[in-house]
Amino acid sequence: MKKSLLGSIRSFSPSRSRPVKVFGASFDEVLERQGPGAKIPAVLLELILYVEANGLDTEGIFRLSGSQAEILLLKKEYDEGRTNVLSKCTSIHTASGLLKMYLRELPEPITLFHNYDSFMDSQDMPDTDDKLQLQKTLIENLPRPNRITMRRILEMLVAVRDYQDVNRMTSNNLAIVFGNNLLRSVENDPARMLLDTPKTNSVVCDMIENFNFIFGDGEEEEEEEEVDLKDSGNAEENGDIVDDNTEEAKKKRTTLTGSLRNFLRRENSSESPSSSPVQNRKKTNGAETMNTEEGNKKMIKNLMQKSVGILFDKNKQLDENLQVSVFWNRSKSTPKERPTPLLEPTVTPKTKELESPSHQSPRTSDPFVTASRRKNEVNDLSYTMPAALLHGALKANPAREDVKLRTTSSFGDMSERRRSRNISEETMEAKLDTAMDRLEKARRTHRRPDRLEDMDTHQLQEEKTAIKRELKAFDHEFQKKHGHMPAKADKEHLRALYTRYRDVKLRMDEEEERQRLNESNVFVSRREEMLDAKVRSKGKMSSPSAPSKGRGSSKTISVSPAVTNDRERQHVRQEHVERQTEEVQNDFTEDPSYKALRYEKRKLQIFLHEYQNEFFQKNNRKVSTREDRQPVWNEYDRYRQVKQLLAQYGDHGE
Amino acid sequence: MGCGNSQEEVPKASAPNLLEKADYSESYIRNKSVINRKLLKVILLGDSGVGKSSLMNQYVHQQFAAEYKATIGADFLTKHVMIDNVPVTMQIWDTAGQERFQSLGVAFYRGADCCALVFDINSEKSFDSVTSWKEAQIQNPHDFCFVLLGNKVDIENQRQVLKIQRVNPLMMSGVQKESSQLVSAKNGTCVVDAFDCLAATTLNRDDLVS
Repeated sequence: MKKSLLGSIRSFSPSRSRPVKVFGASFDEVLERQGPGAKIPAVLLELILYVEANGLDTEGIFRLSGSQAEILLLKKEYDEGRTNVLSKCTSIHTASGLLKMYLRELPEPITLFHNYDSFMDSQDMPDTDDKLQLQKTLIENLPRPNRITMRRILEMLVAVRDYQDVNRMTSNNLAIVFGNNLLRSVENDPARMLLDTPKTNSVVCDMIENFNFIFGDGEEEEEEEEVDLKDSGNAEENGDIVDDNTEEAKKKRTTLTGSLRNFLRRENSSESPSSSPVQNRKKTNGAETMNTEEGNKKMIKNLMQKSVGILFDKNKQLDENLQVSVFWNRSKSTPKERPTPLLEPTVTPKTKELESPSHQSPRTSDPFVTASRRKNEVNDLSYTMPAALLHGALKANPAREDVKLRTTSSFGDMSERRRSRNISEETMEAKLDTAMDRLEKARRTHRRPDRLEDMDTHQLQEEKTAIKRELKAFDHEFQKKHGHMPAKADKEHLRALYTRYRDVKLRMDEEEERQRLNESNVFVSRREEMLDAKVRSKGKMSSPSAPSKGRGSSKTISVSPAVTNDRERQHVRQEHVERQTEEVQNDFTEDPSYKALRYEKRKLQIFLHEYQNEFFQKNNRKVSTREDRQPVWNEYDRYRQVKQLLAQYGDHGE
Repeated sequence: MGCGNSQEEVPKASAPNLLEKADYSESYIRNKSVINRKLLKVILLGDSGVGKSSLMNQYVHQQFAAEYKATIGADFLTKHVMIDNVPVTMQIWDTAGQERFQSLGVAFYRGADCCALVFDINSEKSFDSVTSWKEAQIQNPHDFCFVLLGNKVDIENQRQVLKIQRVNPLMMSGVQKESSQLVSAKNGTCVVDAFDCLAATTLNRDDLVS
């Protein structure tokens, strides 16, 4: 109440100076200060309009930097609450610099920290349509003001891009300039930033190029804005989270098209303010079924199966509000704690029921096998659907009520069940099961084989990331619940997951080693000789207890003392690899400088070989004298040097 | 000063490629030995769009790309030259002028011997910000040898910065004025000269210091 009053006073007397920061203030704070109905921070909008009015035909707009002094001066004026600041702006580059600075200095980027990983993941998707669909979904699931602001910014970028013949700013250039301003990771690590930069850039580039697809066709947002003005006062007065939800839900609903919207308006007006959002949602669904249209079901199913794999890691503890509304709610009381829309639980009644028998029986079997068995029993779409994602997809295609009805009704069911069930009763095993489920699902969506030994390096990497996410999610959840990180004992239930993780890592090491060995055949043969010698000198090697390394990795190896044929030789190599991975710490091959040296040596070797061949072709004789080598003397020198250095490591390759 | 016509290019920091265009001149090889060779790390700083990347490309590849593209993070190229009969490997770091990359700066500047502050002679603003580049990015200005390079001398009619000598001596303390030049990355005017000069100055300065 107070806030809304203050807000309205301010909006009536905007010229009043207020000593509040604008730059570096959080998005919510600025919007709140602007009063009800604010969607885009005033500063940002002002700058955008200024640039659009004056800068579209400026060469290098946004790329060229403005005068630092002027930028700082104007920034200060904004922070002091002055108005008409931009009238003092002498160069368009100052305005564009300010705009970039504003975005850069936001404590949390407009796309929100928790979406960062998903955006990065989108760049790994092989299929362009999937990638764009994921980006679209992520954008649609942003809180409304963020979404609208994001849309506005990109609208401007598209406008700039449209003038690229004049201003030379291609979408790629704009993406380089805006990438990290729009997408930032929470840890703000320069090294990570540098590594991710190509990805952030291409995300922004995608958004510019596919603006119409990702941000819809624009009408709905406009109309939404109208409704927003009407509703917002209401919500402010109540100042209640639940009602806020209702408001949010109303807004969302108004995005539905045509006669449906009118119908919904009637529905809304008949709702009493205290009616729970769940009921509202059910009503809405009821309404939507009136326009039922079959057919798109399959499409949406595919889409969700594809996307779930990427979003599953966002699982988080259910909380009442989140459950009630699939939308992120702008909780005024706790602006920092944003329940995220993608954090929908993927545990639903059906899985629960299925889990219960496994609770009673002692867990001796492979959890992965059980997980997949279960999956085969119930291959039902509606049971692990992140509702937010679903909603996002539905918003894109309002005609897909059938699926929506099914899922949302099970969703409602779930919340009821959840309420009756004490959350603390949820055992760790259930968590493990769901985690396994999600992994399984992810594997399926990315067409990864179930068995580790069937995976290639890339797939292994993906698998590893997926498991890591699960583990992290658990840690995070645990910390939220208990206020401290889980101890080893707390993690005991997740042993299967950890074992799997270790297996994956071992497999990866193995793969890497194998590739390295394949890389330099000369090296391999030498290595084999050494190995043979070792084996011989050791006499009889004890049969290794490979199976204990865990399922998944097939290391059933028995080494006979006489290594004669190639097959066995291969085994020895594998055995050696295995031993190496076990003794990572004290093995010099893991030393980075050693690796670098070997890399250098290899490069030089190739180079010298090439020279030799060339020389042979030219002179019809081999390189023999010092003069022959003169043109490559530097490399030759260095090669010998590197070899010497390597010898110090005890490596006598070639 | 003698300047080697030899060169070797290493396109990316991540994948040093020794195989590309290794073409050593004889005089160079006679002075051989990789170990005796001095390494000179030069960083190019300046506002975005002044032509840092173009300068580097012009110097190392003798090319000017008409492409208009902002640099991501940083990039470096190396070139082997003879400076006063000493073989020198110039490692030229091209940094991004974009503000958002400035947080990465310090990591790149570590171990640099010389810093070329680049500005656009047609933009007074880029010249003014040279000072802030110098101060904001370099932690120990005394360890560096600074050189000013005024780029885009090929554009005649829009010139805003007429003479480097106009530099405020207090602001620009540490800048080697005699090595500062007006260059053009587009047609290559004075580019090789400027870099050689810069290398020589740095080497001399190092000798004096040590």
